[in-house]
Amino acid sequence: MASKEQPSSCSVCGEMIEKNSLCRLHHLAKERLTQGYELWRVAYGSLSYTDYLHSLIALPETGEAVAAVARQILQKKE
Amino acid sequence: MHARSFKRRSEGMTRTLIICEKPDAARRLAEALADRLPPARKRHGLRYFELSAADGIIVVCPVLGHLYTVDARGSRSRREYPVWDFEWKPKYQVERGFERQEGLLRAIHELAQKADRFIDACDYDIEGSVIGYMTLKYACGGADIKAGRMRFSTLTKSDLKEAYINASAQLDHNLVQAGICRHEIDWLYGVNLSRALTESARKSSGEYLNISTGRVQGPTLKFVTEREVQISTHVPIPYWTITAQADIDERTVPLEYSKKRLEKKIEAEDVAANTRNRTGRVERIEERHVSIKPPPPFDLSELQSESYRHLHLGPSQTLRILERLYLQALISYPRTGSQKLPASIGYEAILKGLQKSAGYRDLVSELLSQPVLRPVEGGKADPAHPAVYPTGRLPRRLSTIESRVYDLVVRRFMAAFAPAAERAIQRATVTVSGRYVFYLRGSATVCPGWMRFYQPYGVVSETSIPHLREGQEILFKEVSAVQHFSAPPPRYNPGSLLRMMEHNGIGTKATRSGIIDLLYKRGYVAGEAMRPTLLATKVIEVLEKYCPKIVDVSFTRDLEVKMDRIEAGEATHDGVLSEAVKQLRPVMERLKSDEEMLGRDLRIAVRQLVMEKSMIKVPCPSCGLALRVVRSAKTRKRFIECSGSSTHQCRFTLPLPQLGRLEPLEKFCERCGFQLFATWRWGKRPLVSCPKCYVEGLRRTKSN
Ligand SMILES: [Zn+2]
Repeated sequence: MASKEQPSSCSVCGEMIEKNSLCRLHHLAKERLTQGYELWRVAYGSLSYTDYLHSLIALPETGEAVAAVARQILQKKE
Repeated sequence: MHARSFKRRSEGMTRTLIICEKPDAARRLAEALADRLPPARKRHGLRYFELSAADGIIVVCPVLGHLYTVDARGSRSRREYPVWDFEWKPKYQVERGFERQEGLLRAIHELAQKADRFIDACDYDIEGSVIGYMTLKYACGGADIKAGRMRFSTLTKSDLKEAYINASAQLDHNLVQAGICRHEIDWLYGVNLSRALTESARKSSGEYLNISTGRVQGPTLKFVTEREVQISTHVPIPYWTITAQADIDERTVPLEYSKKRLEKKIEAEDVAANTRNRTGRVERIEERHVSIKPPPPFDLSELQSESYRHLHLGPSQTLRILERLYLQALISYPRTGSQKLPASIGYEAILKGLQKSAGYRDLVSELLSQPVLRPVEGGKADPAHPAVYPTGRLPRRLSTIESRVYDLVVRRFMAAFAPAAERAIQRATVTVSGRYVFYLRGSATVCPGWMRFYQPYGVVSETSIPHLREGQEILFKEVSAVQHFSAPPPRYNPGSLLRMMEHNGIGTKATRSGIIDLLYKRGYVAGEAMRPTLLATKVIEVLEKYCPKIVDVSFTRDLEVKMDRIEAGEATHDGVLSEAVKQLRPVMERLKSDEEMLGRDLRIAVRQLVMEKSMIKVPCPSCGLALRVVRSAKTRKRFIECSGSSTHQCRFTLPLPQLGRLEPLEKFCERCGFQLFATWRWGKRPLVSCPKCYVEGLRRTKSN
């Protein structure tokens, strides 16, 4: 059971949460997003996390769930 | 020989009843056994043949597929679950649309009463064996215990005659028991799981939507939803490739960098900067010849996949066409898992038959001039039938698409007897500054071998490289580092999903394509690149949460293996059935006790689907209320109706196409602005139409 402070549904899509206030799909998307950042940093030498997220959102290959998580992280930063 | 004919005479005239699976098969069998085919007789709507032969009267009668089916014992509510008690009943009593079978069963029963010898001549496989057995057991008063079995792989006269003479004295009990067990287990799983889903969703949402799943359907749908998760959570990773061009003999030639994929931008830019406009040196020139064997003869799934690849036909459409070709005695039995062509099929006679066709004459003559005819074979075997092959009979009237599938089968068959192809593979290694290694590649067919026989289906690309010598210097012109991003895995299409099912050993060659069709019909997937609907995602989520075993591929495969063991005589029907029930019982107990939670999990998806299915985005042109798609309770026809039909007495309606899967599009008619609909039919391009313009067109033609 979720405690009183924790939200009861995914902060991206409103589905039932699985972990860290995200549903299963968006939790997985977040995990992959984090892993991907390391590979992008190696590929470009250096890259800020914000630039990484902006690039992902612009790419057609990016999965919908990943793009949604990226947009949410950027919104929180603003 | 003498003794045998004496014995028959002494027995007097026997009356033999032969059960065939389809009307066409019955006609072919009657033709093969009669000197002159008498006109068909009719009884309660059944058309059958009565022939007089040397050993008495032969009655050849067809059934129309399965006449019996599994159903709950007695007559109970179709909403109740779990159900464990079942029996076999005439199909017309259980399912709508099979009313004709009542007369058929009566006719078979009457014919059976006069017969003293029985033969099952249904297709020689699990389904055919069950059809024959059930008909003999229930419609022919227990004749299953004394009936014989004909085995054949083609419907040619010679094969049918031989199968009649060599009919075995008994039915194939292993095949029959394996088939019965499969039907019973599939029924138990399908009915119980589907009712649990449908009922819990209905109680929670108040909407009735038939949510079906099955023993094989669940794991198959899970392949599609899992793929969607991979696509949705795909993070593209950057990588670079090097494209390079050099001038050789006044020709611009592309070169390939030795590392196909570079993970770092800096590395890619280094290669480009240090090789552009530099001179490279040809270090080595290698050439090797490879021999490529012909592809193995067709088993059903490989044939379905080639048909999808080259003719763009869905697996079930291919199967239907193959079925028609088989019934015309043009090809052998298509539901086979074999890639073998035994000599007993008579290679030479088949090829000589094909030689009479102008399109194949020259190729066949080449094959026949070989000292021996020996086909390549694949590893897969099937105890009941060989690989799919042409019978050598030439088609008279085929539709365009049938003749294409026929051509594919014939060419694959011819290719199996043709020599291997030989390809020359060339590679020149070129270095720049001794550090950067590039390749120039070429390939050419030296001897086309079987490829010529399999054309246009097995075309390979030919690329030549210019004449080079070792030590030669060549000038690199344009070199650039091109950035790419890794792509998500592709969505399944019906062909690749079928291969996935086969690869994982779930379903049978007879059932797989039907299960894929069902995913579309049930609204679980849409589009040719299969995208799961919200309902599909929810159903799989719920099944994984409450009964993960049911969608687990290895559990499903294990059960398949056990059922196969009945066929091989290594397990019994009762043993496998009771084990399957033992596995299902706790699952159903849990689903029943969690019914409320399960319903809540499905509720939103069900409501959304019911809404989506019926609502139209354009308001009623006559009263402005919402329009919806409905089905007439009387005629079962679908049409568009105004939602104010009962409350506001709005009479606005529009007709819709009745055949195929209907999908409202997010597009609107350029002429009138009404919502467009797509109608999907297998193997055809989707038909996009505007219901409103359609009606106006009809009115115009009428008034003209
Ligand atoms: Zn979510």
